[in-house]
Amino acid sequence: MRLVVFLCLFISFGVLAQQALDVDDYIEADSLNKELAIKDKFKKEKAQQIFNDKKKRYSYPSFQDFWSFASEYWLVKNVKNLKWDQAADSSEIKKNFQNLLAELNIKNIKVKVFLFPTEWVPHLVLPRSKDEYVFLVSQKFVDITGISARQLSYLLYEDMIRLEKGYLFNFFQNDEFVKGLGSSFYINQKPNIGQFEKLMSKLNIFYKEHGYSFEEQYQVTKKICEQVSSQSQRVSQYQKYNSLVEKKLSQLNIVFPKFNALYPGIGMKRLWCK
Amino acid sequence: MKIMCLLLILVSSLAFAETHFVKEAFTHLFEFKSENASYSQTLSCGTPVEVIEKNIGWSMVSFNKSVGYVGTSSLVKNNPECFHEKYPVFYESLNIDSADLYYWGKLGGKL
Repeated sequence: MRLVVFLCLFISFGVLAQQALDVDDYIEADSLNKELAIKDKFKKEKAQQIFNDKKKRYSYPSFQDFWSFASEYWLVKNVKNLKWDQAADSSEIKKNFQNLLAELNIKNIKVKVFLFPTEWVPHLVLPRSKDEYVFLVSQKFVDITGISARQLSYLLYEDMIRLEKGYLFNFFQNDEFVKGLGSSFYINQKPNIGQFEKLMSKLNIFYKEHGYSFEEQYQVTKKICEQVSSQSQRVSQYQKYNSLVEKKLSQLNIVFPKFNALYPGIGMKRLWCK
Repeated sequence: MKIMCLLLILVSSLAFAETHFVKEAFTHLFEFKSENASYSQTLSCGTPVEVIEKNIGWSMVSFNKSVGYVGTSSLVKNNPECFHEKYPVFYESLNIDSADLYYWGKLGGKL
């Protein structure tokens, strides 16, 4: 009797195993395996996508996104030094500058000019998104030199070329934070804000102490001279602007103690243009 | 009677208002067409506003039952890609306090 029961059990297990095999066969026969594989792949891809999206949240900004944001951040943090919130009306300067750009066939440029009331720096340009520039000019600089809105447009154009040529970015090319732009900090879960703050301080150094090299000044002057060379009126206006700044150089160096270091070769500009 | 007329104009303007989005990081909703005017709210990038009147320089908009002015160049028709949404963890780690927001809102009106 026991033997019969054992045999029955043995046979039924055998049948079940056979049935299990049959199900696999059926799955294979109906191409269900492929479907399962596709579903599995889809699941994995979705999981990867979720992970990537999460990881993306932990990334440093791209180069372009960063500089546009950093310019605004820097302005906000330096409002007490620059007092740009009390800037005077600069519509005439902007109009003259846009005329100059139009004459030089430079189109679709968005410009913002702040004529700020402090002596913290003489003038500077900040990077924004592509074809967008924020210029800051000290009212004191304008008062000392006595330059007109038309002459000021050359100063803005010089600053624009300085930015276009990447002189500001070159200053930061070995900066640790800049090197990490666009990368992920997912592993550490938090960004290195200390490095970011250091970069902001370096930006102050650049605008207040470092400025541009003699060679950079030469390149900027040369470019403008070449561009306006066919228009004698423009050449004389540019030379007039250079001469006004040159004449007031000693006074500018008193009010802005690093002026010579920031913009070297002022006395050479008219010669470079000849 | 005058108030009624003004209200009617405002209501009819709102009916034809078009949704725009703030593209600057921050901008205040100014009470007058000036970045030195007082403001009712600070709008961040990506905030949808109803444009009542669009002009060169300043636009009259409504947001959250408040009506005020923002710089026209601060507005775009399509939802912009905002820095704080694109890089949320980096942005949240920055040291931005209420005084910074006050000036950032003013800057948004000037840019």
